[in-house]
Amino acid sequence: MGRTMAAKIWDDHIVAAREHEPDLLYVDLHLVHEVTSPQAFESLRLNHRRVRRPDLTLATMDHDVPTRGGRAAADELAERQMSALEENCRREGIRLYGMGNARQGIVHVIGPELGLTQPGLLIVCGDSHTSTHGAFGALALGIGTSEVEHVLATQCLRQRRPKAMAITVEGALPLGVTAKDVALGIIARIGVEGGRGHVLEYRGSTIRGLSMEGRMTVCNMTIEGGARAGVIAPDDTTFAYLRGREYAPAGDQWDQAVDRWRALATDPDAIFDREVSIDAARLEPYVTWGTNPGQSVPVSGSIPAPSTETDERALQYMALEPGTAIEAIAIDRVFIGSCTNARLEDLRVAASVIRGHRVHPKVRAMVVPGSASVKRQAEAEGLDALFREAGFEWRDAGCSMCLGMNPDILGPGERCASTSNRNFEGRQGSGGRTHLVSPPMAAAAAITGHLVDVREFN
Amino acid sequence: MEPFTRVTGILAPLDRVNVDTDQIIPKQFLKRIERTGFGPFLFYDWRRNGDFILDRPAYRGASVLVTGANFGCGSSREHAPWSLLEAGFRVVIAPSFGDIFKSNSFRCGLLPVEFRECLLNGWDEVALTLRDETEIARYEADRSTELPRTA
Repeated sequence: MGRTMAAKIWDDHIVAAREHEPDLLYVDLHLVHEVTSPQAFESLRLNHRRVRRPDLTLATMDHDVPTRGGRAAADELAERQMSALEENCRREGIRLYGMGNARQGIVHVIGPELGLTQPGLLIVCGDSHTSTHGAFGALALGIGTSEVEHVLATQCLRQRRPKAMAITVEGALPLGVTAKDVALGIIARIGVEGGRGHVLEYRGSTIRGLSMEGRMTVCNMTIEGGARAGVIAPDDTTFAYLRGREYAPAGDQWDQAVDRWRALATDPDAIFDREVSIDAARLEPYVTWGTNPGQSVPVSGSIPAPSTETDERALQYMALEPGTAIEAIAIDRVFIGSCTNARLEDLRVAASVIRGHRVHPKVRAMVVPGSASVKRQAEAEGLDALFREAGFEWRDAGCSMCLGMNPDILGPGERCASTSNRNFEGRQGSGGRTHLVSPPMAAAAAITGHLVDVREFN
Repeated sequence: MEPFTRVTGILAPLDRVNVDTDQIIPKQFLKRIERTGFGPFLFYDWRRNGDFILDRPAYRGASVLVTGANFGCGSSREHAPWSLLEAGFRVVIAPSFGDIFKSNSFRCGLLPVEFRECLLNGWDEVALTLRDETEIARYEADRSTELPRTA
């Protein structure tokens, strides 16, 4: 019987497999950031252990870096975490792209843009959105700090083999519908724990038609559907993106790598444990109305009547009444950023909506590029000037208000149209109310001051 | 079903792995049409042989069973968790469970708690993995040198 792509990658990385025990897997790339690593390094030290493969490890600072004012603007605790990461990387010989480095950025943005994220690799990071890297046909798993320590010490990870679920999306995306809406549509369909225990493989003509940026957005949100990881078969789009990047193979090695990568695709006779089909023609721009990413409706819709206590609690937190048209909801803030939607393509799309308009006077809007490199490229194209002139704040790279660990947070009761990935209670700031949307939807909301259907905006 | 809020009681160890549901409740006792009446036959064959640990006075009335990996493997008979429950057990702690047994247990009020071997033995998981040093080194030696490196 054939194997799925995830199974092939899994099998290629088995160091030891024993009955009744999780498999021991070899990790090709370990991405490290300041928030989930300090306790892991401390524990290594206490146990007189060293990092086994610093040459397969890369660190950056993203979660609590300030996005303006430089490092001096960091609070004391953030500064402590950044200093600790510097010290840990220095001691262990790990390459660090820290604050101020030209290659710094959100860990899931820089891995791909450096060409480190490659098909067939097993990638881990102490962050749930590690699923992003699956867009390249890598098996990418988010792990906890104890596992970070384990990988630092052994370059291996113990995991039980997950099940496989195929998510097939077919057809052309309707106008105004983005990869973000594909992701939100999938989560609305399978639910926030629908993917539990599975690796999702996104397939079908819609997925093949997405750019790498779009594929990353879809894989990024995999974790919001409860799944372990998401993968997309590498193809010419993948290879075109990777070619020529700093860490990508070059010369003869390039052709060999492409041959290897092409063989990763799921075999025609492989069997998935579960299959879900989605018709792209029926997708719309979505807006979340509640406090988990599964609680969404098309922007043309209205707040649904609560059917569970969870819904009721969500509506109460969000201060929304059933029956209210989505487009009637006024917003205070707009956040364009995060590992979900802060790559160059996202900024370009948002900019195209903003061109010729100004941010609504009651709205405070910000753009936080996903990496220093995205920021430079956007500036080279004049996007920064366009955003600034329209009234947006143009910030330095980082996770920023996606999780509000740095000074970028919502005030209590503030309502935000956000391109990020989680609308959990208090995520963007205590009492803050998050509506997850695509970058063009966020841009349009910034201009009108309320949630608005981007399809009718221009 | 009795709500599961708190269990206070005696903990009984059963130091075996792969305890299958045929051992938990042998086939000859599956002929009842009720969900009850299985408790007396829990571990029937093992008890019959005498000096079974659960029959020792210290463990009489135990409500928590601590045991080895893959507990409840084999047959799907839900009579296995029923017999444990009827014999007074509310919780089974093991490094792993047979999938069907685990799912059956949740449905009938027995709490299966997965307790990894590391915790059970107080092992440091890194140390445990480092016992596989030979395998790790062998994998590394076979690994393509063309794969990306950060340094």
